[in-house]
Amino acid sequence: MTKTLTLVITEAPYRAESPYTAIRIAQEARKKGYQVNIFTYLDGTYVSHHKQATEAYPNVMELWADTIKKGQFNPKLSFIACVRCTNFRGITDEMINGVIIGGLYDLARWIKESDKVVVLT
Amino acid sequence: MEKKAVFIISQAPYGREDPLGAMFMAKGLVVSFPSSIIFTGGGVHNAVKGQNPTGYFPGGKAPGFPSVESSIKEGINYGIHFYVLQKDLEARGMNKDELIEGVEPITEDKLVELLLEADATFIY
Repeated sequence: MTKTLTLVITEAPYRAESPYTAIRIAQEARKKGYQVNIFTYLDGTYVSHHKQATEAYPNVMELWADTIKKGQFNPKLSFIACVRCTNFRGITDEMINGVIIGGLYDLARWIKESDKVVVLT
Repeated sequence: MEKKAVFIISQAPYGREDPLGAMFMAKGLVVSFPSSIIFTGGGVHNAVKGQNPTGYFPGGKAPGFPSVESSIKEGINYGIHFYVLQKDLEARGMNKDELIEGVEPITEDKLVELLLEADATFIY
């Protein structure tokens, strides 16, 4: 049976490295056959903002967009951004394709279904 | 088997969004499974009774910051278990008489017990 890993991201990209680390964990977990769930919370919701323009740093938005696109095929990757957090920050309509605006009940369901939950701060 | 979630909050109230964000998340999760919040380090200040964040803004025209104390009391009604690390409380010259009713002081032993029982651990 396919195992499931849920990652929770609470930090914004660039100030913290953890959103970039999460991308690498997600990709490697999929290679190992894990279905991956990503839940972004608080400043973590900036991770999937569609207007990121970096030069010296890896562009987290582009990397997530690519990871989400590949995650359409098995093993799947699902990405939910917390609606309360995106509303607070005025970015609910600014998400890259494939990001679902959801809530904490979605996270509760994911935790129930997951074999492992990792929180990156 | 029922899952459990535990939150460790080491950030003091009002300085960052984290304590309120953590409690909001715990309220969302406790509907589905048992959830506990443990205040450690500077986070123990969240559990102090008599907080009054209104008037935080000069002139009192802007709304006050949402009360962390109210959020804890609401969380207790939701069924969330609140704990504070006794040693970190004492390190700050505080004692259990200053805590919001329902918040329980615990030792490191109990902290580890709660962490080992949890399926998901959130750090704020």
